[in-house]
Amino acid sequence: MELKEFIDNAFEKYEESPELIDFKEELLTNLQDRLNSLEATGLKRAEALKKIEIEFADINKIADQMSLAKKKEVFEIQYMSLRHFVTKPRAAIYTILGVLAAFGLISAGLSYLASGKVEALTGVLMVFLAIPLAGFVYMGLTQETVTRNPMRPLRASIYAIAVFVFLFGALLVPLLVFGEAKSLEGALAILIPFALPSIGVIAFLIITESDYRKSWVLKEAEKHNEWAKNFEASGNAQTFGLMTAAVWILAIGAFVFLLFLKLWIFSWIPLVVALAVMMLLLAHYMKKSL
Amino acid sequence: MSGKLSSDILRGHTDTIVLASLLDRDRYGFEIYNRVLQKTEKLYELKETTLYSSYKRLEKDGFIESYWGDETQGGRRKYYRITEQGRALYHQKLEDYEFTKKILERLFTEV
Repeated sequence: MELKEFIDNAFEKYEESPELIDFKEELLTNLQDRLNSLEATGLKRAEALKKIEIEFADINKIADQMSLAKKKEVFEIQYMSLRHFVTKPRAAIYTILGVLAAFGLISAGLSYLASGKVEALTGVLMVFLAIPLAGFVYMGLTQETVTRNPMRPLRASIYAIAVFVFLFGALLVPLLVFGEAKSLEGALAILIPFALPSIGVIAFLIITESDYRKSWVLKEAEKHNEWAKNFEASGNAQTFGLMTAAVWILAIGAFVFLLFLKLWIFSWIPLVVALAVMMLLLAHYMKKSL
Repeated sequence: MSGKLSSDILRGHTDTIVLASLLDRDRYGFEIYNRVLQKTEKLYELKETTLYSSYKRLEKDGFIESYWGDETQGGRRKYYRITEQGRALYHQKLEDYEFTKKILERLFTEV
C-alpha cells in the first residue's frame, strides 16, 4: 500500500474538514521522509511501508480527537479565521511603513508646492515612497492569512528589492527630464538598467511561483468552481490568455510610441482601452464556458 | 548504558521533549521525531502518534505555532515554532523535572 492510500484509508470514516485535510497533508510529507530514512538503512520499500503501518496502527486516535470538531465545520473555519496572523511586531512594521509612506507623500507635496519643481516631488518620492512600498510588498508576501501560506523571506525580499529598483528607476525619469533638463529619450534610457532587470526578476519569480493557498481552501475551491474547470478544459482560458497578452503588448507599444512623440496627454489612452478590451474578452469567454 | 529506558517516563514528558526540539530552530514533524530517535540512540522510539497529539495540544494552548514550508518538490512540510509562552513553559518544566529528580533520588536511596 502506498503512503497516500494508507493515510486516506486511515481517515476514511472521518468527514473531511479543513483541519483534517491540513493534518493529512502534514502527515504525508512526514511519512514520506520517514519512509526515505527507513529505506536508507537498507530496508526494502515494502518492509519500510509495513513498519510505518504498524507504528501508525493507532493513527485514528488523533483523528478521533479531531472528529470532535468534524461535525462543526463552520466552527472550525471560524477558528481558523480567529487565529490572528498579524502579530504585534508585524502590526508595528505595517504601521511604520504606512506612516513613512504618508510622510513621503506629504513632504513630496510640500516640497513641490514650495519649489514648484517636479524634480523635488519625485526626488522625495524616490526614497519615501519606494522604500515603504517595497516594505509593504515584503510584508504582504510573507503574511500568513486564513487562506494563504506565507512566502519564504528570501524570495519575498527579492520581490521587494525588484519593486524598489523599478520604482526608483521609474521616478528617476521625471527627475532627469525636469531636474537635469535631459531629453526624454535620454531619460527613458535610464529605464533600461532599472526597469528591465527588475521586471525580468519579477516575471521570473511569478512564473516559478508555487501555490500558496492552504489545502483546505484548495479543497473548497475544487468543490465550488466547476465552471472554472470548463473554462480551462474548453480551451477558452488559453485563448483568453493569448488574446489578453496580444492586447497588452499592443497597448504598451502604443504607450511608449506616444511618449516618444511627446504626446504625453494621450499616452494613457491605449492602457485604458486595453483594460476595457481585456474585461470584455473575459466576460465573453466566461459566458461561453458556462 | 546497561539500564532500560522507561517508556512511561519518556511519554510523560512528550511536551517538554517537543518544546526542547524547537529551542534552537523551527522543525517539522519528521525532524522532531528523528531528533528523539538520535538522542535516545534508537533505544526507544517515541510513538509518532504521541508526538502528533502533543503538537496539536501545544499549538491549541499557544505554546507553539505552525506554518507551512515552501518546498516545491513533493508535499509541503508543516513547521513548528516555539512561542515566548512555550519557552516559559519549557523552563518551568525543566525546573519541575530537576526538583522531581532530586526528590526521587532521595526516595530511591536505601538509607
